[in-house]
Amino acid sequence: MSRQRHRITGNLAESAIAPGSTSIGVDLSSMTRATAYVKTTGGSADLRAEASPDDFTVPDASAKWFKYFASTDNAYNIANDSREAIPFPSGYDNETIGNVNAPCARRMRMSNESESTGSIDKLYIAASRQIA
Amino acid sequence: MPIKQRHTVISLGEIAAGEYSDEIDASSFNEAILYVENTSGLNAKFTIEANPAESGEAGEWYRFGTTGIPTQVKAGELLAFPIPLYAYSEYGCARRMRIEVKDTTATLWVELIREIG
Repeated sequence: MSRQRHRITGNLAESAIAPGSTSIGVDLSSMTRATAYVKTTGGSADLRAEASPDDFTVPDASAKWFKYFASTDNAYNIANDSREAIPFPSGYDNETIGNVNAPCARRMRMSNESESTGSIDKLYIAASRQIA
Repeated sequence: MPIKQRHTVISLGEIAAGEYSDEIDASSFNEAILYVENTSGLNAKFTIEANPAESGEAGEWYRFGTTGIPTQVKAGELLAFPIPLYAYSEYGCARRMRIEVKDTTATLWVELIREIG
């Protein structure tokens, strides 16, 4: 039997992630690629992957969180009542960086930057790694 | 299942305008993420350079993965980028890298990533 290369979290949005809120941080330290599975409700949502260089002894609330990635003001917009699977890092600027094949950080979370009504009511983070 | 270490974070500290970070030895890693914290009141710009010479040799530094336009982090922002910047696919780090910060002071970290521990 081949060894496990993929892992997925449970639903990180059991309590919907409202505009201006974030998910909990996820430990991806044994993984190298990640994808967020997102379902929106109540309106479109502006999503942004965030990464932290702090180790896991630092609580989520105290850790420094960085928008991952691109020097752009654009978050990744998902229409209302949509389901999308988004490779990390989410958010992109078509004039600069494509959002394919970049590594995940060891500690990541998803932020809902919407200023209106869109919430995330399902969020799974799936990650993978290569094994020799 | 044993978990092999695939991620390592290095703090490069606060880098003043016009200064370079210490050299990053990424020789046992495949990929990297740069974290930039700009707490100044000015926009911070930075570039990444790579050196093809063996570690320990002086060598020459080459701009790595940009079009020549420094990447900008606005005042007060915390942003993380895959290295090299402005690549469209196939991200990968060089074994020797350093960061130059322009215009204002910024605080940097680098996360190094390898596929197999």
